[in-house]
Amino acid sequence: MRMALGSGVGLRPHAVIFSAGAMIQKVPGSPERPRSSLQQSDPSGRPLLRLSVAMLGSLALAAVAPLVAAEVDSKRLEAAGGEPSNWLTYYGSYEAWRYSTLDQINRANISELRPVWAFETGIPDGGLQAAPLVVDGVMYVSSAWNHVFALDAATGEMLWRYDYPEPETIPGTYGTWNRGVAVAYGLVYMGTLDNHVVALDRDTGEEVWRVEVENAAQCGCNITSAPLVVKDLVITGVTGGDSAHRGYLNAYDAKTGRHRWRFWTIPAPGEPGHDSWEGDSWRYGGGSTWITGTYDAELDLLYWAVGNPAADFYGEDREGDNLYTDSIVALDPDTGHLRWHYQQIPHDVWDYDSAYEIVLLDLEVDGEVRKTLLNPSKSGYVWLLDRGSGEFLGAWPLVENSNWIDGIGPSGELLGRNEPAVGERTFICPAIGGGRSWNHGAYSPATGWFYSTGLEWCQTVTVRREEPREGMPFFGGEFEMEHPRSGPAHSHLSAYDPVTGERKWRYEHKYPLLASQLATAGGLVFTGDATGRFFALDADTGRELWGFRTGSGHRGSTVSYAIDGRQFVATPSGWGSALAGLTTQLWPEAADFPSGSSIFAFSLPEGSE
Amino acid sequence: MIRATAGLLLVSSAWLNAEAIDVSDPGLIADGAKHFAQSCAVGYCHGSEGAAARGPALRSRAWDPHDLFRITAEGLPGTSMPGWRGVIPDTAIWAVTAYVLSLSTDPPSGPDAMITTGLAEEPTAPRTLSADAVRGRDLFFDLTRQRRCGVCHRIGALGTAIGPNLALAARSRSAEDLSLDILDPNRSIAFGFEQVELRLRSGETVRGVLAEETEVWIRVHDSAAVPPPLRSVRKADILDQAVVERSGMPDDLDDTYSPGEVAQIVAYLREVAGEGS
Ligand code: HEC
Repeated sequence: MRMALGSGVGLRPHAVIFSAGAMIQKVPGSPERPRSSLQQSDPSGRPLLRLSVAMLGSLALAAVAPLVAAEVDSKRLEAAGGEPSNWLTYYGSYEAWRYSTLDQINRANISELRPVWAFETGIPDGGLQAAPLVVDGVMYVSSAWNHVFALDAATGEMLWRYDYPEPETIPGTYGTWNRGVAVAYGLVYMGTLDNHVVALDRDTGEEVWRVEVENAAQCGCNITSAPLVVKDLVITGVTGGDSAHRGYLNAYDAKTGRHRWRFWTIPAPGEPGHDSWEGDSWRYGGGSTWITGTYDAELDLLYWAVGNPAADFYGEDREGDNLYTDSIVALDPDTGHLRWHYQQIPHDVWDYDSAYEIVLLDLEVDGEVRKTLLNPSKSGYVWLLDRGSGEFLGAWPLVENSNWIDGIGPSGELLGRNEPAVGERTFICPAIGGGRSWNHGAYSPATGWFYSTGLEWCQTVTVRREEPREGMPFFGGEFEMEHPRSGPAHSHLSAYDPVTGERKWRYEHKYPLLASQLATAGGLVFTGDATGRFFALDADTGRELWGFRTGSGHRGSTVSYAIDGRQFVATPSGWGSALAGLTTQLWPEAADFPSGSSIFAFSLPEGSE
Repeated sequence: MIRATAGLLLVSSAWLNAEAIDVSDPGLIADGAKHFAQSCAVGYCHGSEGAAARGPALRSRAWDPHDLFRITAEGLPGTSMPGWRGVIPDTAIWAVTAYVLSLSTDPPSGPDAMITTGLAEEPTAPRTLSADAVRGRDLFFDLTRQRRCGVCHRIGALGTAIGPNLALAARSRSAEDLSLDILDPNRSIAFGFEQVELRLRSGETVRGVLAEETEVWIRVHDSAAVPPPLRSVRKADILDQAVVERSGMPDDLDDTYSPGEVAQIVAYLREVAGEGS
């Protein structure tokens, strides 16, 4: 039977209501911008991943940006590091270096750096935690409550906005913030505060598809991290690690939203690793995937870091190693099948997720160049693994105040575990906020160093047995923030040898540094602080070279890009989030730090470059 | 709003069904402390003893008891503070209120601590399902099965309403009919849930239950995958459209559920329908 739609099949009362007109505001196109001469250094289009650190010095410096850009596809994503005019993917490239080869803004001229535009999202709840993407002159940024803004990256003028309809159910445990979008195939992808993935038309902001990952009312979980596009798939992690929930990673067909695979982070009965869980504890064992993973195109491996087991602090109902929590998993990106895993913390009772970024580095280890991955963990340690096999290559600390273990042995074993006793108050460092927050470090191939913050803070943990209630918080205890015994809580940003962890320099800060770092070929490391100061350090020495007050604290990820030969550095400004709240327990004045949600873009004055 | 299935709730503070309560009662405060630790202090919310985390500090402040109760029960719209009514019993919300008041700058005492709660009635008895139906409900919403019924059907606060309301559908149907509907969905197609097939200019064909139609768009729950993505198709991109007499529900759910399990799901649907209202 053929019939016209709109007559027989009408709108049903329960249908999802969209009001396209109200949701999407199209702003007329921006005028042509004058072109200036191209002076930024654009390396060859080859992915940086394949270059050893030693080879980078010989990179040919071409000076051409494509005039008519091809659509972002897997080829462009795989070579994103070779497109410094753009910031195509969450970490800037699959290598997750958070490094820009642009050097127009550099040590010598940074004192001239000026704000060019600011854009206010108007949605300050939870601060602005995203990494903006920049694709061929357009910036895409998401705010809390899943609003997406497309901006002219040269002027800050809004091209369109998308407002995700306010959901009926919001899992309260994990916040309403959003850490970024992905762009490919003409679409902009975002995970939502009620555990959906949406795909928007890149040119108009109109919704093209939307899929529910799992019912948020039931799982108590949601998505705050940026999706990752690998080949024809959009891959997304999930929160839920502090709830009675079983974690997973999902892949959807990037064009249609059709589900392609799910990797459960906790093996089901009959699967290898299942016996690392006691009884039924696997059903509610956490293992979230709440920070974006990455991909090695050459090895064709997808890497993701898995969060803590639940209940976070009470482990006696989940005896065993609790695979694959606190692990790095390497998956076949086409099928989601596990290729290898490495568990950093078997049977975690401290809430020390391995969730953070996975940085792909080719490094000389014991006289041999190895394809490695580097992963900082909430525990305050950084792990170095062989990224082909998962072999343990080393681990080193980011923080001094650490008493949860005595150290890590030569084959990766945890020495002297200090497990908080049930029913007692135990002093543990680092605090639940982590020896580092999720915000990402940066790697500079110019110095060969990894730049990361370290948070020196502690807590008193009181462990309590808890019955799991599906989708409800499942911490198994409580904590209260404490200053370390050695002195007031504080933080630092340091440069490290990625293999040995040897500290090259250290920049001290009174408050927790909770924003990502950006390293550039201009010899700079950018980041921002809780009080709203955005600043640049000399990548070689850690000396502060420049700063600007954006008005609200920094929790997001700074990026760099170029338009018509002019380099920009853009940073989200907007204090908020779970850790921002926790800081008030140690620094009461932090309760008065203003929230915000804006993007500030900086450049050298026109003509001076 | 956070919601949980009623069956999972701990119904405590049962002795508290009085119209007036004493919020300085140490037993009530201790009960509230337990609820607070499990649901409010947790992780990144209000912190241990209300010391502040992502949510604001609750201790060492001045509160009006009724305001405190109302905010806890109803949440704060537009923020991540959920309403707890329906998640924990109102009696437990009063216990939490008493606990937070005990941490305040000026904890109520003596006659000031006698608060009218408005909770004169006995809380409604929790719905009692047979053992089979309880099992059926767990299967219906079993998160370990990716093709569970709850992916497309909503009952109460849980699940997603892509397919019809089964509490209504089950009311007029025998157990046999229901299990046939589950195992052979093409047998009959619920009114208003017909699938449309859209042939697009791109060469793609999209089939799904219609969700919405506007001047410009047609949105369908694409039945080529579970969960069905909501696809937005521009009318201008459609070559051809038709209603197809195939169900949007998968016809191979016997891969997901055994016959015994389907029977338990049917028992659940019939008991939910029987509850009526
Ligand atoms: C992928 C989505 C999907 C899943 C999974 C699903 N259904 Fe359905 N269901 C539908 C759709 C769409 C309809 C309406 C079309 C029809 O009547 O066949 C429907 C119809 C029904 C009907 C007929 C209702 C009526 O009013 O006639 C019953 C009964 C039913 N489903 C039960 C179930 C049960 C029980 C499960 C789990 C075993 C389940 N469904 C799983 C999508 C789904």
